[in-house]
Amino acid sequence: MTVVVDADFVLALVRRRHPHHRDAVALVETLDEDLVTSPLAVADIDRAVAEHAGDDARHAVHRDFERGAYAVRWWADALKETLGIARRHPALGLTAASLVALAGRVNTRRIATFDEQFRTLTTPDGEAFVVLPADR
Amino acid sequence: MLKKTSIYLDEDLDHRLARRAADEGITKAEFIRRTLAGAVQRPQRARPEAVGFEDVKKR
Repeated sequence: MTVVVDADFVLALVRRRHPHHRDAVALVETLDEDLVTSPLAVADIDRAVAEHAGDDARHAVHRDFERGAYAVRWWADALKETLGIARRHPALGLTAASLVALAGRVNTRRIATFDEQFRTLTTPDGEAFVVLPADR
Repeated sequence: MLKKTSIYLDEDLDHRLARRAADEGITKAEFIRRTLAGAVQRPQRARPEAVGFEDVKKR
């Protein structure tokens, strides 16, 4: 099983003062599933970590990507699928849309996020997301 | 040595498997074998270590 992760979830792990830091840590300490995200989210993670936690934290996140703590997936039709999802949900940014597409790609409905908009979305297969850690 | 086995798949899953295999440039059978091998032998992923940093002071 795979869990899609969004940028704010990773930021919550990285930042001790993030309001959801403890919840994020507790989740990754107990999950054995692969954590996967999209390249669009990687760019958001890089920018947000640098802005909030500085270069040491940013480089630590880079090492986590190198070590395989997070997998990053993109595929031939990823942009087309992402744009299609964004078109159906005009208020949704492309990064979030890419994570919805990714969930379909890796055949999971489990997403690690503190973003409540995922409760209003479905996977490309029409299933409701299991929003972690809230829905554990 | 390969052992032959048969399983029932949803038609949609079958199409998606074929598509994924084509993306990877391998046969569907090989894709299924690799996926199953990964599922039963996959080592535990690395845990994130970029955890618990203090915020930078904003100017």
